[in-house]
Amino acid sequence: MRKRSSGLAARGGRVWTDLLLRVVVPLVVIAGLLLGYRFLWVGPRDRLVVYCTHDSIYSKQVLEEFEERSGIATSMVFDTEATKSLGLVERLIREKNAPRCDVFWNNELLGTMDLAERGMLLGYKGSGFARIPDAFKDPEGLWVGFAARMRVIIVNIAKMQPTEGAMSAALDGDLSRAAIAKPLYGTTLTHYAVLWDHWGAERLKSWHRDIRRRGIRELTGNATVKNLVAEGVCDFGFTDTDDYFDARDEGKPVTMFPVRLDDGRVISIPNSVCILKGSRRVEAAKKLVDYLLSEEVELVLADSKARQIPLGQVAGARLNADVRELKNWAEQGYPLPRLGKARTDCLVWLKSEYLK
Amino acid sequence: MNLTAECAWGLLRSAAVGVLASGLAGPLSSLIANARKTERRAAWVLLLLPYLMPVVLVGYAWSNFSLSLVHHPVLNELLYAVLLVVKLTPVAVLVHYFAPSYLSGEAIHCRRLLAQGRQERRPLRESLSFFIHGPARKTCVAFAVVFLFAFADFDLASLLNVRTWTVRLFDAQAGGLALSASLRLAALPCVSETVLLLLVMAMLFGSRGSPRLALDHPKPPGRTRRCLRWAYLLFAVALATVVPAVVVLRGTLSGFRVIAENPALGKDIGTSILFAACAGGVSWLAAGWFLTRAEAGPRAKGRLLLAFLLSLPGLLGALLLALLVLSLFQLTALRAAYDTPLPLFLALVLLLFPFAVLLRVLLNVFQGGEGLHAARLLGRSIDPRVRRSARNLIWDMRTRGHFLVAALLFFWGYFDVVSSSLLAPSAMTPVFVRLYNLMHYGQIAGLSAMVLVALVVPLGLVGLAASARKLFIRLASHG
Repeated sequence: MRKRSSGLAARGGRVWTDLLLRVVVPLVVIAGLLLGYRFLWVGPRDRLVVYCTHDSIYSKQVLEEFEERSGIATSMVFDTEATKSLGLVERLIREKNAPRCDVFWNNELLGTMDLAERGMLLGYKGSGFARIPDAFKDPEGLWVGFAARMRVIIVNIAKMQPTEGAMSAALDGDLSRAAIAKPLYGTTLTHYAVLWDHWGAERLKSWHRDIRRRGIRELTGNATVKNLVAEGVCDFGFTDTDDYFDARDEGKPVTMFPVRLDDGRVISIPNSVCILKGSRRVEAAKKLVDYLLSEEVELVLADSKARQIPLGQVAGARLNADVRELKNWAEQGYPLPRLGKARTDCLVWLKSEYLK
Repeated sequence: MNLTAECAWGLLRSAAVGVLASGLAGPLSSLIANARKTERRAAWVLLLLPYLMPVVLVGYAWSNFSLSLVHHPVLNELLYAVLLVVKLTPVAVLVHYFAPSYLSGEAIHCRRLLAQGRQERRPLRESLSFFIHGPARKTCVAFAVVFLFAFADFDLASLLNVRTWTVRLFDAQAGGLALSASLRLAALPCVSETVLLLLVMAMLFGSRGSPRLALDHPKPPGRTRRCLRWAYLLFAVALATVVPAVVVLRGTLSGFRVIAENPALGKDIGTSILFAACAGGVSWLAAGWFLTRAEAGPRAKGRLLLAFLLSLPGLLGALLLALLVLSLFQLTALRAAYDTPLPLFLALVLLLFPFAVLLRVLLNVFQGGEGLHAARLLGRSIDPRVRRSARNLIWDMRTRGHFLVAALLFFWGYFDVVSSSLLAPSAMTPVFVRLYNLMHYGQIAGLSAMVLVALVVPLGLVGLAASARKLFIRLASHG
């Protein structure tokens, strides 16, 4: 009798185990996942979707401030270093049939112009458009530039003399201790597009092959170039002002010279903002565009570690010394709005060089 | 280097990594098998730590040192290969340790005795066949698994500035590249991976019908060898765990304030856990379903073929797979689901599926046998204590393996950056996408604290799930 009851207990144990394994545990897991989904996922229809390639530590604050003031909730999608070559511009093109982005804040201009040429942007001329000079905006309001940075040569002063003469001699000699980012994307691509337009294709190709022959180190990005020069592994390199200031703020022995073309002009690369065609929140998008193009935001970006150069009217006294100096240089900037074709042609050639 | 040369160089590099890792696997398995209980635990922990450290963190920690080797590309290649060996040796050891020989120790001994008595030389073919079916079998499987991982690596290569076919595929996307062109670019490496995967699957399925033998008990190593093996374990931990931990986590304490000010981190971790749990769970269940039904029946071969075909998208790698899924959800029929969790979930499932199949086949081959059957019989005992012991035994012999595989799939999903950054819905950011972005700005205290929390939460969850089994066994045994 006792044996029988124990056997029943054992069978009861198995039933209980089976019930637990096959029913209770999966139900608990599914319920947990559904609850998680309910709390974590906010439907995109309720939010303004902003794609942003500007460094998230600076841009997030600006967008959060906008959210707080306007009461418009945003979903921010930032560029990822891991997928840099497949940047947000390429992603927007791939998403053309089912756009989810409302506003695109690009940290350079030529990619945005590419989107405009493909007919993917919506024109808007608001208060922000009005305050930016004509040289930095599309006449139809498809895109508007703001807060620029510049291409510079960062120099480690412990490794070489920080003079124009020494710099020019170094650029003509062995370049195995110099660095540049791969020109397939980002501001280095803009740099190349400017040279393509200014020098012509053949001279750029010959210069590019020459610097590679002389051993220039090609790296994955401008921040990496900055790191190498700041640490003294390379003596100098081509990068952007925001990276240079990053190294200087960290106390590294660096200085910089603006990259100048033969005629003395510099390469100044603005951020750009645009509204995507197909946006379901156009009114909210317009508000964000006006906010980003406001004097206030340009000042915030000028005061950030990146020291971005305001393009619209800003009282000079409100700018810090670094930005004032940059603003003087940027006034001699090479005009970018007509470089769309140069960028496309240059990129086609670069891909044939790097991806044989 | 063009793509073919890069692919060939990648094959060579991965083969070298595979040879080294599978070569180290034998001595390390023997160290673990012959160690006492406490030592064995310590050895397992030391062995697995380098593997469990996310690749992104290891690459990030070594990226500055790698940059200092910019004038010495050969040394940089070497650093990359060493890190791959250190990261992947634990996988080889796991395969080696849990794999019983196809031929028993006694059979190998008998052959040796016979060979001593024979005067004439054995034909090469016979010796080779014996070697492949006997001592070399698990080394071959370990080599193949390590090779597959090494050849598909992208994260470490890109952070260490090393040229690989995966990095080239990324570069090719600059300025846009049609999906068909991307697939053409990836054809050669993917075919290489597929062939190897087929060979491993054939080898593993071939041994499913054979009698399951007990685990090997290799000879205990001498004192010097033992010391050398412990030294290797410490070296690997220093390289792939201590250095990244120190680099990434220094300043963590002062950074905890940042976490308090950033409630979004909790949401990001939740997002990652949700995706990883769903995708890991589904790929694990799907792999199990296919393999169970491939055991017998009229459609067994068809199901096996389907499982293999479903494994192919995952072999394309995270980037191509993500692009493929993105294109799929741009089609009119699926457009409405584009900005939802579905695309990322699908991509993760497909990405994890081949590894789920491979790991479950390995489990099926290496587990079970008479021991498990005996433990199951014990579980029918009328005595609750015996039943509890039986459940503990079954956990040790079977369930633990499945739990580890599921946990591994969960972690792979959790640490994914590439497909998550491309396919996550705009309102959800997986935590490692955000952290990877922040790593771009260098070492900051807040980031260190965030990384620590992002690592500890899933580990804690898995630990909690593992310890819940005690409660489960107690409940189940008492009925």
